[in-house]
Amino acid sequence: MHEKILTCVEPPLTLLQRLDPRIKIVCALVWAVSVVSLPTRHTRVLTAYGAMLLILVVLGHAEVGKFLRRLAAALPLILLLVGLLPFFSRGQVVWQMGPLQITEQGLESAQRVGVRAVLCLAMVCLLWATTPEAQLIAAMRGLGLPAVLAGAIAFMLRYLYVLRPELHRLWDARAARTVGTAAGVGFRSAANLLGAFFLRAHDRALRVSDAMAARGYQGRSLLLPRDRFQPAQILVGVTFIAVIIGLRWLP
Amino acid sequence: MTAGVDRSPPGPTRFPPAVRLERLVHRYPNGIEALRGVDLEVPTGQRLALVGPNGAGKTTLLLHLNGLLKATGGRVWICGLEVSAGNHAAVRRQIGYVFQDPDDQLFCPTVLEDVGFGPLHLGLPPEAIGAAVRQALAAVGLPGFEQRVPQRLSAGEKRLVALATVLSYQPEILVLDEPSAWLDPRNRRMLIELLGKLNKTQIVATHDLDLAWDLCDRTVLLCHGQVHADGPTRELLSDRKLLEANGLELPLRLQGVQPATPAQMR
Amino acid sequence: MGPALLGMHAPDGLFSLPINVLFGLVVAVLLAVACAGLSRRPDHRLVPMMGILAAFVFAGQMVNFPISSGTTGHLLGGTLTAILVGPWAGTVVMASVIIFQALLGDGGITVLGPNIFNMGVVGTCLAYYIYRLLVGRSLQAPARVVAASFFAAWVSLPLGSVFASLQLAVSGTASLNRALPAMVLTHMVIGVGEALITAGVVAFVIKTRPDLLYGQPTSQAQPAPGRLVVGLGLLGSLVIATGLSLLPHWWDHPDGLEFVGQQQGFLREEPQAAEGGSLVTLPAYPLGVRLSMADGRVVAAHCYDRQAGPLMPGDILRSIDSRPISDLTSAAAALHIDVADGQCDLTPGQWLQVVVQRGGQDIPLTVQASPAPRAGATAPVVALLPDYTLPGVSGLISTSLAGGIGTTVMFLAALGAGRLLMRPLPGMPTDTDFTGPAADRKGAEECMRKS
Repeated sequence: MHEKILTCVEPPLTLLQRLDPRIKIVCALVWAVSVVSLPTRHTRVLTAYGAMLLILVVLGHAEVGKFLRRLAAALPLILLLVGLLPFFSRGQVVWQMGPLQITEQGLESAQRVGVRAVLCLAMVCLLWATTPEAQLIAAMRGLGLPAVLAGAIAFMLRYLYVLRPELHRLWDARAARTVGTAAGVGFRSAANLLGAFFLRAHDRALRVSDAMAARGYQGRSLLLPRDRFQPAQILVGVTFIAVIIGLRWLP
Repeated sequence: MTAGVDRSPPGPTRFPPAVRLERLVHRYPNGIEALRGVDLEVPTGQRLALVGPNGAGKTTLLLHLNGLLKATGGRVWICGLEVSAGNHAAVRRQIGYVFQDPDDQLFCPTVLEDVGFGPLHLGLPPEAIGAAVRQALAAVGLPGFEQRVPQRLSAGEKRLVALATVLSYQPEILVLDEPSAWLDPRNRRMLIELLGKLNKTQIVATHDLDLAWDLCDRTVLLCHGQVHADGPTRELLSDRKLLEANGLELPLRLQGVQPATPAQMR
Repeated sequence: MGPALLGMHAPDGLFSLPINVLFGLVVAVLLAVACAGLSRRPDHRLVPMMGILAAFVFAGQMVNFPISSGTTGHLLGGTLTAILVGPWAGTVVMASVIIFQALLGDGGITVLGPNIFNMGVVGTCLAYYIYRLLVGRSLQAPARVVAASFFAAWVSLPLGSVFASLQLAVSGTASLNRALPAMVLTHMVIGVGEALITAGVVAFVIKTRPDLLYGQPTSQAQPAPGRLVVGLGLLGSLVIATGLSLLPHWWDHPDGLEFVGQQQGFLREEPQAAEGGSLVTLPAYPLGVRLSMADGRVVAAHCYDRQAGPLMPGDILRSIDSRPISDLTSAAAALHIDVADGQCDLTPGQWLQVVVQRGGQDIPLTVQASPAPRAGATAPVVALLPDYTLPGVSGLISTSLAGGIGTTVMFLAALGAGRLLMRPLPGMPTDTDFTGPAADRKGAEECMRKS
């Protein structure tokens, strides 16, 4: 599912792609925090935020396809959640069938969560669509994520491409050998397969760490020197944040 | 049939051999002995092929060269420096180990970081890394590949980039474990030509006896953790009885099958 | 997409900012401590191992695991990871997976704190300690290790969902009374799949490479006697079940009538008057509704509690105890409510004869007066949960029973799974296709045996 989506961005074209990933991450976080902390009644502010998002999508026009695909993949879950929420609050009953009831508070909650979830998801998808994953991880490391964690994510990303095909091969080989079970692969078989997959992954990790040690790695990761922040980009970031915060005071 | 190790004529200065193994023994924690006393000397600049059946101990032997495995018994010297826990960094600076699976070796997000990993961690000054990367990529015939991602490279490109990752810090010795595995005939031929042009000591563990024939002057036959034969490649690899006694076969070219020439493949 | 249910991979907006900050801080501290502890000694294996195992978990989560004909399950992987590499490393691995999934949009970024806590701390660290408790001092008894992994993996999901429900409730997104039973129940069911998969993988690993399980002791400690383990396990189950059941209230019937008023203390409303002095709204607590004026008539506008009485929103109040009601002032007088401060003099439990007009018809109702809320009589914890109703006695008993039975059943199932999974299947060849191309440290052993 993810192989199509985890792609490499070719030489940067649009403004959003050229922006320093660290600035982009900070802006996305500020956006999300602002969206989540807005009281519900500020509908105008939320609409303004939505408009801002559309403008940003247009600014990143080269990546609209990727943005939409990612959005489409993640949206159904949010909609499912939002569909369930009205049943889970107590208060003034609006509809009832047996033990299930929908309350006004529930509807309000669903609307609140839905709007915020979609706005934040859209921003994350935009971030994803305009930044190569490697840069995102390096940016997180630069912003203070512990080295072990950032390194783990980077390795996970790299070896996902190697491990998933391996898992598929194991699975298909197993299914081809098994006759008679409805699912093609029985439970014991599948558990053994996952166990075998773990052992392969473990062995590969040992080999990779050997390869790293062979090239001088001793446990402390050194980084290639990072580019400094360019003043123009800082200005862009600060402006964006100022606009987000300023919009909160819309009457 | 064993031949004596070539000794360079004594001169005013004797350079130490690139690699020297003295009675190398390796026993796994479960008691299995993978290496049972290996003696080997590899002079500087020689290309040595290490052949033998599965389980002979080829990879185990190679892993001792840069200290990835600790010897149970015996000693290892690299360029005159004895391999021990304290000097791994110095030893690994001299050895470029190319692993069997390029994916094990290309672990960074971009080719640039992968090829620059060795220089960075082995002490090159940061300003010099960019140039080292460019040179290494040019040497393997992949200029401009810096921003490529490993997962989108073809098998041949991965192999070449893996080679570049060790060339970038200019080690004295190249150690290659099954370099022609995963390669199609054209890439294989390119690799052999490339390795032939590199002026370094090379130790190549391989099942591809034709590669050994084309590339290496000397071959060591390893079986059951011991050296069973050691001599000029063309002699050793024409000895059918010896090869078959050790679980191998004659190279394809001697079986009446002619490998394609570059002209035929284009 | 089993794990991606309510609260597990929560999207942004599901939890309020204070909750996000609180759990974010907790998680940040825990991760910092874990990373610092893991990298205390330079170890060239640490980062690649964490990363590649994270890739293993990520890939494993996408597998449609066949459980029986027609049923498939999914692996979340927290407990499995902790059993394989230990609680701290497991937390780091799960955090990596969750952070990356948040970047993909599967889970929000502001809610990373609660998400990582529910799945990566409760589901990993806490589950590991439960596993450890059940296994005992050594990992020498394979059947018990498998059984412990089964149970720990199962219980980790409902435990995580308890925290998720609390987070939902304190954020105001859902009511604890509704969310908790639903989430705990569904995760008790989903947990079965997780338990089976986890136990299956642990069984395989213990048969092939038992040295890879985390926490092999150096001492040759003997396993504790079986009866002690069973006893401890049952006790643990009951504790968990009781803990779970103190919170959820499966039905909305408070058989303790006195609790209702207490919770609503700080929600207490005052009568509101327009300029000119006439009342606009009147909180008629004895009737359980808020009264307001509409079209010149007294209407029940809002029900404080569905169970408080037979009045429904939209009912037009005609008379109380045969006194006709024309406006809110007369209603207040009939209910003995002091308009100035909202105090009511009616005895709780006193019966009132009320006539309402509903759907064009006059309907006589008999209403038992509900107690008026007492201002300020609230405990701080309850103040965080505005609409929470404590369970009555019957609710407590029933949920304790359900939780206890469920947990005990799973415990026995775990013991059974331990025995079953450690028995080799007849006719099934042992799995050796996991040795990869590199003849690793152990791989040479197989090659030697073959030659």
